[in-house]
Amino acid sequence: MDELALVKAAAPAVSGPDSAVRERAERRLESAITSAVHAPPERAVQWWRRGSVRRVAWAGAAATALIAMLVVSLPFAPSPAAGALERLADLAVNQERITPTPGEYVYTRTVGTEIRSWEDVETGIEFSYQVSFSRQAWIGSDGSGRLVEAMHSPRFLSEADEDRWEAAGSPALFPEGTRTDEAFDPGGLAFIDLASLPTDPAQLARAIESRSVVSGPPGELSTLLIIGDLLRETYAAPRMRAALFEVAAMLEGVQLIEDASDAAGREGIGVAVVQGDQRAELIFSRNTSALLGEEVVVNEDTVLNSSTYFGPVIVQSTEEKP
Amino acid sequence: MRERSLTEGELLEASVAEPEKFAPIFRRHFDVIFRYLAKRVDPTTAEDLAAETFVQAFAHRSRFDPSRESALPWLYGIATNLLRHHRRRERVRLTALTRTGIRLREPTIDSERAEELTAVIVSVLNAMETLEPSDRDVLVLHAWEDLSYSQVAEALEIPIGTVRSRLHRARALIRERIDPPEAMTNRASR
Repeated sequence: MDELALVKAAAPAVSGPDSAVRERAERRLESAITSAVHAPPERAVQWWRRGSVRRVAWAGAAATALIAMLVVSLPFAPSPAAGALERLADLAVNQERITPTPGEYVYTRTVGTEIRSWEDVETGIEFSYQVSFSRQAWIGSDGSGRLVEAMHSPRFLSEADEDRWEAAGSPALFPEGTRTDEAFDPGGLAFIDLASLPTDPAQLARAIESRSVVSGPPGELSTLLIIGDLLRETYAAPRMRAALFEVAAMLEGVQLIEDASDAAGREGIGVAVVQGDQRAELIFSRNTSALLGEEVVVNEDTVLNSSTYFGPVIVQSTEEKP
Repeated sequence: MRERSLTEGELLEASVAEPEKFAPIFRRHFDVIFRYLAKRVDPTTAEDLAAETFVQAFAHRSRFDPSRESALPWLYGIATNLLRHHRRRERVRLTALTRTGIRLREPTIDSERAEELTAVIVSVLNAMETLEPSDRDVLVLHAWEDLSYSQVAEALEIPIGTVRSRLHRARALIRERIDPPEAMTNRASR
């Protein structure tokens, strides 16, 4: 047996693809055909958003002669980012719900960085610095639990910021302390009651965009971050998680980031929205649809905040760390 | 008299004006391209790259030489180009195979020698991991995908002489790195 025969023998035995893989690829190809041939992207997105239900939007669009001529035989697919988010929705809807029973807690750990600004109202001196933080949360189904938060490693954004800090009298950068550890009685931890929200994507989108679910500034970037919040620590039902991904897929201008990885080096599916000089990015696990991390960048290279999430995991006490 | 069906070159040429003509290209070749990629990277990446291969093929269909019968070598070339962004994943895949993924497919090897052959295959995969990526591309397309020299040349858009030299270099390096047990070599070639 010569080396070529050995190389042949070393070929991995692979199977597939299964029909789901093939269908997803078909949708992606159709999306590329649609966006390459039909309309400018913003028009396509507007068309997509006009319909409150995807099926209705598709039927409406398919009725137009031009699109029908070009799409041929298969249903429309959204943009690559929307397609990726819909795959995550498909994944989420088939997953088991993380449900703590009484006495159990959902544990999540977050590490990241954020930029803080300090201003002396009397002198007008202001400076900015970046801090690293970690946050551990144990949240029970009754809203009881524990939060441990720590701040460390402050770093001035520039020498000028450090000079201004000294000019301001070198105030403490962590006036609230570097570590807090709080226990909460039932109801003490604010919970977003996702059970009361609609799972229809269009209705859910309207609820989120009205900011009645989570407050925040208007705009698609803020909506994406709110979706990240809702997917993060709450133990939403699979159908609700799927609906949240569907809402993200509807966002105007949502972009797919190939080969995204979080600050811990975990690879996943990244989606981003740019608004003005800011860019928000969420990264999800390809295998579990879990939110791995998020980042907000301003002026292309200044990271306003970056968070990496670990969990959620069910634990038996507020002392347990998986 | 039956009408002659279009070659894939003609289909691709026609698809420039009529995009729906691209559909048969996808239907005929997606599975093959997916399995090729799945041999080289993890299944999730393979799915992503296989889909992207056809997106890229569609985007560049006007560049395909309509005189060619089959689009498959061209698709292999696009897929291989996309793999270049995933070299690290490919190395991870090869490493993983050496640890867990080897399943012998050679029916003539009896079970008592299977362990010996597995060890040799591990050394082959390790050697493949150390090849220059361009040499590995040629080797894999030829040995794993059964592409002829001319098809490899077409896929990678390199002269056929370059295919020969890369293959020669790859084989020499693998030969140097592996040491198949004499007894097994004799038995296997009987």
